[in-house]
Amino acid sequence: MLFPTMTFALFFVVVLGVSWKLNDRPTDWKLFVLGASYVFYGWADWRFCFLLAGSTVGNWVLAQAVFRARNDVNRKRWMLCAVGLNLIVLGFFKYYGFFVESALTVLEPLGLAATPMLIKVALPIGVSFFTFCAISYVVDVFRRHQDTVGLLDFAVYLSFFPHLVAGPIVRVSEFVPQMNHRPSGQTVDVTRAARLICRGLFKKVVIANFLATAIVDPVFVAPGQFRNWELLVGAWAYAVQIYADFSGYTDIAIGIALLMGVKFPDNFDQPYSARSIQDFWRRWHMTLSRWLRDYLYIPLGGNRGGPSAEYRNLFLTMLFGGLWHGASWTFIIWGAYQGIGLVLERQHAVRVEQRAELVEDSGGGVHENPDETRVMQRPTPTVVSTETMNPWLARLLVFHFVVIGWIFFRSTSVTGALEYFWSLISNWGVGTLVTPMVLLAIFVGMIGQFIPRRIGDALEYRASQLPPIVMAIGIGVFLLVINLLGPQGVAPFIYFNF
Amino acid sequence: MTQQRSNQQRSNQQRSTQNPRRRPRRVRRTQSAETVWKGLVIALIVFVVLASGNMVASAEGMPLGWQRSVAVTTSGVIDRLTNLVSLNRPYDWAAQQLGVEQKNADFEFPVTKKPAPETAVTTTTLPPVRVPTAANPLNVVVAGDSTAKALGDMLKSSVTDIPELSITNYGKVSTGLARSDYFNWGARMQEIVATDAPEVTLFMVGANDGQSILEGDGTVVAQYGSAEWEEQYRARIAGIMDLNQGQGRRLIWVGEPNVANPDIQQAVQTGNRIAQEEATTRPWVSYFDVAKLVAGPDGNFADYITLPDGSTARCYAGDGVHLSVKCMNLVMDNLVPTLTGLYDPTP
Repeated sequence: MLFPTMTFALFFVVVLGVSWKLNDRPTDWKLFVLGASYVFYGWADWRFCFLLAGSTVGNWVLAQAVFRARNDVNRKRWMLCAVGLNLIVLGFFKYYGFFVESALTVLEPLGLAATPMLIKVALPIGVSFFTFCAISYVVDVFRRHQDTVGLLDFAVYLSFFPHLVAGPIVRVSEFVPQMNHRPSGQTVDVTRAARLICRGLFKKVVIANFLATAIVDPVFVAPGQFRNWELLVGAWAYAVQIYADFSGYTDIAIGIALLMGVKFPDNFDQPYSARSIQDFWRRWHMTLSRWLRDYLYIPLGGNRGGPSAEYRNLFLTMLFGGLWHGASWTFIIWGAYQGIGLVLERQHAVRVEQRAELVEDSGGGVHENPDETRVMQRPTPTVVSTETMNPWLARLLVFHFVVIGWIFFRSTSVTGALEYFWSLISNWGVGTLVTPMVLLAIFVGMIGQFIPRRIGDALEYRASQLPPIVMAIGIGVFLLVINLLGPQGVAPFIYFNF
Repeated sequence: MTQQRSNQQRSNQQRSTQNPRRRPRRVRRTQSAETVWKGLVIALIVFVVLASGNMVASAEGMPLGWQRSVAVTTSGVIDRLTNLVSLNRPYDWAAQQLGVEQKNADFEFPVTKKPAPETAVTTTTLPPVRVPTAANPLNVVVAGDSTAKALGDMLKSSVTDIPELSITNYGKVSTGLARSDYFNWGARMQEIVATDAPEVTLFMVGANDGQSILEGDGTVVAQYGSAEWEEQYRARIAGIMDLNQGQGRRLIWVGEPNVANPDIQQAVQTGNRIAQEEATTRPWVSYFDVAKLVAGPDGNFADYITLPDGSTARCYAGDGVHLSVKCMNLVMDNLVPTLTGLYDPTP
């Protein structure tokens, strides 16, 4: 079921009403929300519900085994067993075709006749998201950061429909307490929720869908056939499209959860206003970055073991992050590219810091401001090279670093990406795809990155003072405008594939 | 009371003296769950009432079944009521101005019987297609469903170095020949022929037609799977072909590729077969067999195929219907020479 459809709207009217009616009966609330979430997930293909149910029961049982294990060796064994099983499931559904194709590519030139089972494996929607949630629970139990929760609580946590198919990746510790201590039905933060849902719909239905059909899809299908101005604008447009699409989905998800009395963590924070690559990753898909840090980067050793170990772990984390996005060499290259970028940036920051310390030690008297001195004395350098530049130049550089990565990310093959880059520097000309509407959509998508939060908050405050009936009519009219401005039909969200 | 008020004023003054820059925190007003629910219902009612015409079109586009019947009936009633008080006029006007809605004009396909075997092959010859120039290129129109849209986009990209060909893409997602109530390709083709006067038309549909056949007013004329269905579907295919007859125009009926879903595959195969049969009786129509190009070794659907250069490629996008770029390139390698061969018979 897709959020921006009338089917979902009717589904949500029923779910919201019943959910608040059951608010004072937590067990009934959980059972109802669990049922509703399975209806939501099974709407497109009910068979995937078995996978979700299997993942729920399997991970819950294994977490219990981790919790009850008599010694640390057994605890670790059970935890590794759970993580391994999750990765096998994820690997089968997501990477089977990729590995078979890659093996064929290697074997065929060697003249080795290989006849593997070339079966088509349907990718269950959102499998990466709920698998990551499940892994986080088992690992948190292993680390004793989290007590085990009941099967019903865990099932609702994993399947809760607002975050089920494309995040945000919420932790058990953030979700389960909100189920067991339901908020009062008298204080629903409707203005914040309405703002998020309307903003999300606008970003998805108007900006992302328009840019996809007007320029992004054509230029990435056959980049060699387009002029470099079209390709440059096409790459910018994809940067805006993927942001509008994914953050739009997340906004709607957070808003819907908020209407049901559940608070989710933020997932985006104006990422294209970042002044360094590190800053970008603190603002983009924040819950995935957090997951990668806690369940991959830190277990790999984090920044313990010296700079070279830190750089290796950083690179491997980003490489894995790339592979998580899909079974393709383009995603692996994208992950490696981001990893190399972060490592180089970190190295440069260390050099800048060391130079500053030298100046300071020699009594240069540069850092008279005590706050500034404190920043320079931090053990792990977080001051990065671009932050010392003119802020707008830094933003421009970081944005284009990210855009180059997106070209790999969006291309259907590595050859396609290389063709894109080659055409970008060789196919001189203007072309016909860049229209004023395309430029306007890019501008609108980008300007939101730089509007101070306080302006939105002030508008939200004013809207909250309106009588409920006026707000409801206003939302209805806003939906109408979105419906008018968006292309016909609803394209699936990009991140459903991941 | 006065004492109390003056105390409060004093404490306010004190606060503002202590921290003169801090503004009083503005707290957003919250609402009760019941009010929120009522607000949601009102917002949806406002949307549905003002955009009732759009709701009817969306409901008609749903797959047949009780959900569609309920949606069509409900949205139809709402639309009639809002029509009475003209509440939906502003939306309809704005939609027309923005080109969002296209009038679903009436068009009835004539009933056509299966061609008799003796008439199955025609030897009538047509005048050759004019030799186009870069200044006066051949007007090629692509029409049909989302597979046609993808084909048209790819074709446009593939012929940028052939200035003698001008491609216009009218592919429209979620359409087909079965559901004239949702989108009437007969009416649309009539309009395209009248306004664009294409010299060559490429038409491709079928992946959405594994369902009952409906007239423009929503009347079901043939249930999917019945003998009448094939007869009615044949009439629609023949109708599209006949609309492209005359003035030396050529129609290339592009067959659908095999698809992964067995139910859709049956409709696709039936449609391809009928189109091939009907094309043989019409000299201005030729059939381009995509299914054969991208079939597996057994001639059926295969997610992976061996390309002419010997490499193995995944041929379909994730939905098992739309072709991957590699297989689309394979189609282009054959389709572009077919097109240029219409005016330049040298290989």
